[in-house]
Order: sequence, then C-alpha cells, then structure tokens
Amino acid sequence: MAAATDDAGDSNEMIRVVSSDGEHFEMPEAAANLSLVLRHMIEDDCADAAGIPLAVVAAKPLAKIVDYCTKHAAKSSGLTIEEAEELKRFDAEFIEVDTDMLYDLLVAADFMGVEGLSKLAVQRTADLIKGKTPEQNRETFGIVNDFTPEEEEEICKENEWAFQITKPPSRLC
Amino acid sequence: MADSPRRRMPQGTAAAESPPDALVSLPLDVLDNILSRLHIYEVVRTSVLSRAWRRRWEALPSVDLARSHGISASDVDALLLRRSAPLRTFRLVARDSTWFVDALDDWLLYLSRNGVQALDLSFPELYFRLHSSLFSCRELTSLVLNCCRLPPAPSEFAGFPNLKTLRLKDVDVPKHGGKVLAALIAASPLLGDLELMAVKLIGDGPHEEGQSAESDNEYPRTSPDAQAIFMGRESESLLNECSAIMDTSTEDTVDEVGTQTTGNGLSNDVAHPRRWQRLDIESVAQLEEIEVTIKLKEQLHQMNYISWMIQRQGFVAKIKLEAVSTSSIATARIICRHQISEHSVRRFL
Repeated sequence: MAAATDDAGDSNEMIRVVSSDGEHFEMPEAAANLSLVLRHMIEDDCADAAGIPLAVVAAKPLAKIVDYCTKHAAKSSGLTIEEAEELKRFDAEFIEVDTDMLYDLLVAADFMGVEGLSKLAVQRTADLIKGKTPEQNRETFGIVNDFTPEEEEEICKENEWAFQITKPPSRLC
Repeated sequence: MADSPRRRMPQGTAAAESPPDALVSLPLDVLDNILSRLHIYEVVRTSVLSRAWRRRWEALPSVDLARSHGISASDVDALLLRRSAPLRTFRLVARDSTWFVDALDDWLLYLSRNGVQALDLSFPELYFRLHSSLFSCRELTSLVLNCCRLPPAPSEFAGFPNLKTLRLKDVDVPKHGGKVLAALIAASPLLGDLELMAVKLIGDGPHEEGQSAESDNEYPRTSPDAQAIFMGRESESLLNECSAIMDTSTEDTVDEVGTQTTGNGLSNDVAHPRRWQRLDIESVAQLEEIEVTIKLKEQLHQMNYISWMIQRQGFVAKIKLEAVSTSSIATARIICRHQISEHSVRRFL
C-alpha cells in the first residue's frame, strides 16, 4: 500500500485500484476523481472492494500517481499563496525522476486522464530537450544514432533553415 | 545510453535501423504535446537524432509556433511543405508586422485543405485581414483569433458544423459585422464556449435592416432553429419564445451578470431582475437550446463585462463577452446547444 491517507479531502471514501502487476493501492475518492478514467468508473459504480484494475499501469508509476492525486486533491480549492507555492515545490520535486519513470508517468497520466500530471510530465520532458544539441539529447534519452555521418549532414542540409542557429534579426517575427 | 562507438554505422548499411527509443515510441499525442512546447527549430532538429526520428516531426498533428521566436515567413512555408500528415492544430503568434499577409493567406488556404481542427492565430496589429479560406475550414472545432479582421463570409459558407469553441479578442468584423458573427454562431450547432472580447462589429446599422432578406440568403444556415432566429428578427413573438432573454439596451454598462436557471424555470438575477424574463422550460425542452439575445444600444461602445453562464438540465453554455463594441446597433443572437460534461461545469463554476 503506497497511498497516503492524510488529508482525505471532501470524501472519506477510499477508492482501491490495482496495477497491471497486481499490486493494490488506495486513495481518497477526491484524489481518484482527478483521473478522468477513475472518475467515470466511480460514477458507473465500478469501484468495489476488489479495486479498479488498471491494465497498462505498473505498480511503480501507479504509486507515484496515487501520491500525486492524493496531494493535489487535498489542496484543490481555496489555495492560499503559501499552499500554492508548496504545491509547486511538491510538483518540482515529484517530477525529478529518471527518464524511465518519466516515460511511465507520461503514458500512465495520459491513459488515466490526470490532466495536471500530464502537463507536468510533458513540460519536464520538453525542458529536458530544450536548448540541447542532438548529441546531448541522444545521451539523455538513450537514442542510438544509426545515421552515417553523410546522412546526418544531408538531413541538416535538407532542413537548413532550422539548423542555422543564428538568424538575421530583421527577419524575426 | 547512447554510446558513441556504436553510433557511426559503416557506409552502405542503410537498412540497419536501431530499434526505436522510448521517447519516439510514446503515444503520438503525448509526443506531440511535448514537442509543441519547443521552438519549431528544435522540433525540426529532432530529425537528426536517429532514423526513427527522421520523419517523425513531419507527421505530428500540431504545428505550434507560439514559442518560436525569430522564425520567418519562409520557415513556415518550408515546414508546411514538409508535412506528411493532416494538420490538426495550428497555432501562430506573429510578433512582427512586416510579415506579409500574402504568406498568411497561403497558409490559411493550406490549412483549410488539410482539415485543420484547431486554429489559434495572434497578430501584432489589427490590419491583418484573414483570407476567406478561413470559412472553408469545415473541420474546425476550435477557433481562437487575436487582433485581426475577419473577412466577409463567402455566399456558400454553410457554417462550422463541429465548432465547439470560438474566442475572438480584438477582432474587427467588417461589413454587416453583427450579422456575420450571428450567422457564424447560428451555423455552428455544437458551439458551447463562446468568448468575445473587444470585438468590433462594423457596419451593422439600422439602415441595413431593409436588406435583411438578402442578407439571410447570404448566410445559409444549417439548422431550422437558426433560420427562425433570423427570419423573426426583432419580433416580439420570437423574443417571448426565447428561453432566456437579456436586454441590456437600457443600461450603458453591465458589470457582471450571472444567472442560473433553477428547477422551476425561473432565472435568478438578484441585481437586475427586470432584465430577465421567466424562462419557458417547455419551449427550451423543445428547442433543446438556450438562446440569449444581446442588444447593444446605439453609441454603446463599451460593454464593460458580461459573463454569464446558463445551466439547465444537462445543457450548459459558457459565454463571455467583454468590451464588445459596435458602430451602431448590433444584435448578436447566440445559440448554444452543447452538452458539456459535469466536469466542465465544475470547472466553470
């Protein structure tokens, strides 16, 4: 059980979910409602003691997602500035993960329809790519360069406009 | 980990493709969402990462140029030419007024022929007049325009059958502006989210009322209900049938009006009860739509802020108008017929 049970939000009811590898988790209903898929399941009375099965979400990312939803559900409305700041810090720490976990979160948040988490993970990935050379990006994301040097050069030439780092400012938009 | 020793393949092994990495294998929408947050140059530069990446960017559903500082019109030409898949979303924030409108016309034509669904255009100055191919974008679900002028609708314009969101800010609607806008709204049966801010409806004065029959022909509409709105313009009977009527003609400014229809069919507007009539739920049920009539008094150039929401049974419409001005009298009739999920309701509330 990885669910945080403090701050249950509006609803005291606990929702059980089951990861693809059979691990059970629990979170307050308000937290589960942050996931579009879970919310629809709850509305359709599919949330029972056996738990809602999530066929494509493994235990490791699911534990993270339960944490995320529980935290955000507890602090969803009427935030003070301090609470908003705290939530921001939580998000920043939360998403400091390796790329494997990042992929898992991207896919799982997309699948479960957790909008805030999707945004967070997507922005994190974009930030990792931003301002890097192709070689740096290959290293970060484990991409194997299977081009010959000639091919690589050819591609740069094909899309020359995008590979020129500096552009005359008169043509700026 | 990409290890450098392996990265140089011997020549002549063009078929030796490495298995796609995890990033490029993400669901298309997720990858699209990630790359939409980058400068377009960085998106195009992913083509050099590996064979799996080479043509990936060309097939992304979105072209988002909101973060692409420093691009030129020819860059946009080049990237649109390279595309290999239908373009779902196009977002442009033009910062330079020297951009040629011609180029923009070409892009809009391209987009209209490629089934663009979400169009979001922002310009630095008001004189950017959009090409009429805008009205050929039949697949549009979302249209967001900032600081530009709408072209006149071509006579064959039959509405945006899938349009759900329409947001206009600092937009001039010339020549029968009120009618153009009303026709656009009336011919978009799914419209559920309408936001008009600082929209100028030009040339919709009372002297043009006599031309209403012709104008009606100019803008064919998709639904018979919409037809009724136009045929019955200004008539009392139509007004009485309206499910909700808001008449601001006696007010110079309206700060904020919020209303919610209650179960018994009465509107709650504590501040200005006389401007709201009893809602006829029965006729609403028949029409399955909520209609709001806004009248702006002559010389009324600023409507400070009107935002209201109408909730009835499952039908919810979110409408927001801000600083809409007209050259004379404009009547915008708004039909919203869209079922929005409870989630959206909560968000709006």
